Amino acid sequence: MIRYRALFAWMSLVPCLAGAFSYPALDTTSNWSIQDWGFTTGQGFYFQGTGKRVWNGPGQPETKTVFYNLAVVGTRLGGNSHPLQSQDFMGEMQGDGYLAKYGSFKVAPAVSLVVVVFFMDDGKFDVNAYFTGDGYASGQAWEVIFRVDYDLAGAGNNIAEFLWNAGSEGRSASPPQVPRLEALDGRLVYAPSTGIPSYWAASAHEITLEYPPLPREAGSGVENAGFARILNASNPQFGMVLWGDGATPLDATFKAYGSFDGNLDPKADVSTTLQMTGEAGSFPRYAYAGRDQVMLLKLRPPTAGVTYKFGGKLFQRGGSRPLAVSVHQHHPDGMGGFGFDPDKVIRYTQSGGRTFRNALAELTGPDDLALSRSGEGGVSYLPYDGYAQPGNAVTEAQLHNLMTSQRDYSARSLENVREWRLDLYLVNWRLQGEPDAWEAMFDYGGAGGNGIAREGAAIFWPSIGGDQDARVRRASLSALHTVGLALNMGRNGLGGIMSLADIDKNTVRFNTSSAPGAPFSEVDWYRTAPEAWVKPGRFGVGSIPGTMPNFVPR
Amino acid sequence: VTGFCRALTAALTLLLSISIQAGGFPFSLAAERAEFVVGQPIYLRIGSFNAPPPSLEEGILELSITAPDGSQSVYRPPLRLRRGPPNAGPEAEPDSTRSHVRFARLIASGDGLLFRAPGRYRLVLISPEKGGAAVSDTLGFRLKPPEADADRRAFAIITRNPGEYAMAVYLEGGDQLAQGMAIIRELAGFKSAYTRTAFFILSSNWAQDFTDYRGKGSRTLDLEKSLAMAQWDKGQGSYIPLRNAYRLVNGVQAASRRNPEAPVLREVRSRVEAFIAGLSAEESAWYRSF
Repeated sequence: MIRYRALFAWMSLVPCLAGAFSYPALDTTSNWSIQDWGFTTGQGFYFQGTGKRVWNGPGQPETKTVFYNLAVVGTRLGGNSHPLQSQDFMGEMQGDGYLAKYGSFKVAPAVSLVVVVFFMDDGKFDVNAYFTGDGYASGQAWEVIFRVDYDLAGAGNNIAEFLWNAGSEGRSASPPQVPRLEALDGRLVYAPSTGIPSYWAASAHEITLEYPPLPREAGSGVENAGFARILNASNPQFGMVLWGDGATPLDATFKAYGSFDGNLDPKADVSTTLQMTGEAGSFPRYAYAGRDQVMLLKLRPPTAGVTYKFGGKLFQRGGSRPLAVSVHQHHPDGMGGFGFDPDKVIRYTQSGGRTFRNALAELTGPDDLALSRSGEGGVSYLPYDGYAQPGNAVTEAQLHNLMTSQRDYSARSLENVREWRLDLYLVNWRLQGEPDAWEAMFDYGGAGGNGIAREGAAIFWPSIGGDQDARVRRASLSALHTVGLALNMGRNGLGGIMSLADIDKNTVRFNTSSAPGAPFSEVDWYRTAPEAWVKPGRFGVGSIPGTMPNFVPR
Repeated sequence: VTGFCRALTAALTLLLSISIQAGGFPFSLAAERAEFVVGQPIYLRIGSFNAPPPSLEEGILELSITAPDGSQSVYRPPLRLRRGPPNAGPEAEPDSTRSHVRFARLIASGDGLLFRAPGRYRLVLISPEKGGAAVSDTLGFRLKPPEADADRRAFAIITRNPGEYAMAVYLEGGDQLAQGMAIIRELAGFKSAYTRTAFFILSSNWAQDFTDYRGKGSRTLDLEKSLAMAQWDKGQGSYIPLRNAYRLVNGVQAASRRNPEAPVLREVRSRVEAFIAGLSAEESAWYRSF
């Protein structure tokens, strides 16, 4: 019987580990679709009707538009515009996991611009450009102008959010929806700083953002150094993150669609108010504006090398907010044989056995919860060497070291713009100086200062008392509680898992009704509160002065 | 009632069980000085009678900060923790004459320094369970900008990455905070208002084993280096030397398990024992509170 239960538990974990049954999802095995591409003197080097396939369910594909029109429209040098005049050559290539289109275009006597655009099956796209020809000399400050006419899922009704921070403009809990003094020139200069959290925000008026080169691992934005994020207004789960690279400075100008006149030196006009999406109020974000707008990108000379670059990646999230939780632990041999089991029944209630998995699945929906644990799916057991021996005390600095060293900062991880990730650490250590502490979480702060802010939490196994069964149940409840802390529920007095600590009385549910005195429930909070406040990670929640503003649950 | 509930009950009743101090509040606040330089940590002493004060990291008590411009905010520590139920055993008899203390390390918040603007600050403990009512007296102190040349030079170094510097000071070490620890090493290289803190953090750091950032290698603690950088002068405030001794003692315990015959252990033990022997009764109680 025990063997069958173990097998069942293992089988139930496998789909979630693979994430294979989570819909809707991008089809990462097929090429992008491109209705038309080519060159005209009017449009430049263009891609018309570019889209990607999404699986809405098994056997239910849908191709969603991304760009109505993406084009290299021209170049500039010394204050003069140089449109693409003629083509030298164009071509295409296709390889394993990508297709690419390229071309070379005359922009001035004996100067050509070569452009190569990669469309990757995994949803990424990558734009590269460089100058050639006898008339070109390195050191010339050529600029390359792109017109990005996005049309996510054919909506036309999109939300464009861009990265900014208090160095860009006055800090604000809700970025300006009308022109303000700080933005009257229509230009904000993004100022990356480890001391200043970054925000996603949208402007209600035309605006230009000037970005320095942003290395992919830098920044404290939600999506790690992306400079803009564009979502379908009616279905914000589908969208894309745009990013530069560590060498190419760029300007992003958001303009009303109808007010772009082909000028290769576009200026934002703050007197032009962008159309509202008409979907305001209850959406889990700050932004309401952006309908029928277009973005002009000016790529400035790279600070290293000769290639001008920008790119991005599509995301298709589920209907809820997908959560990926990895539970890392020391080897069970040192923990009385305890191996974390997300399906262990913490408590039987009127609604049946309550587990770590089903509690979290009620937040996310079962298809949007991915669980992994040490000993499976490539998640290794935690080390003792270099920290503390089994059962001993670990310092806060050592714990922080462990968490940051275990965190996946790879490009692949940074480019995962679908899931909210969280790492829990079930450690066979006590916390030095706090032997009674059962849980700890590094809270609040950005990539520079904290490194693991609200992205990881520890549960101290030796400090949890009781017989083995009680200890295991308490550890599981502690793990759930730390997830709630990481989701920023702790400060909101919502009740439920977060405030009822008795393992024999806790419902082991995130509540769906507001606790007395609380304006919203834990489930409301997770599903509909502004992403910046809920999402685990290096985001500037606490930098917003005062208490969090209220929001209206959907 | 078991488990967590006991812990929660204990924590929430703590406020009720703690005796009222002079001034009518259950908690008192004190700092080592009335004036600090921007970027210096403030080791806040929270006092109580009858039962130890909860740590600010638990969230049972919150610290309300009134900034020089009059704006108010609640301190959000870089670490949050939850305690289990008290250890089983006979409960201590309430003794309203016995004082307790807990220190809060006020330096880091958000992605930088907790106190950034010069001017006068006022701190008071509040209880979320009591609707934000004050539960301590109000502590005032002044934060001044770095004025001496060496202080300005030191602060310029801190501003290279105030977030990591503050986190390293808060954690009292951490090789993974490469930029923060590099700043601290530089601050230890010349005399300024920040030098003493820098030496203490370096001493604490060397009293801990670390795995190199992102698991590329490890280094073991080095008690010789830790001892060489230890700060013993209580004249400038007791927290740093007391905490330094605590870190060394923990380092000795870790090192003893590996090489109990190492000569440095005797030297460190002897130095720490001599220091502890010279503590006042109040300071001994503080030391035990770590």
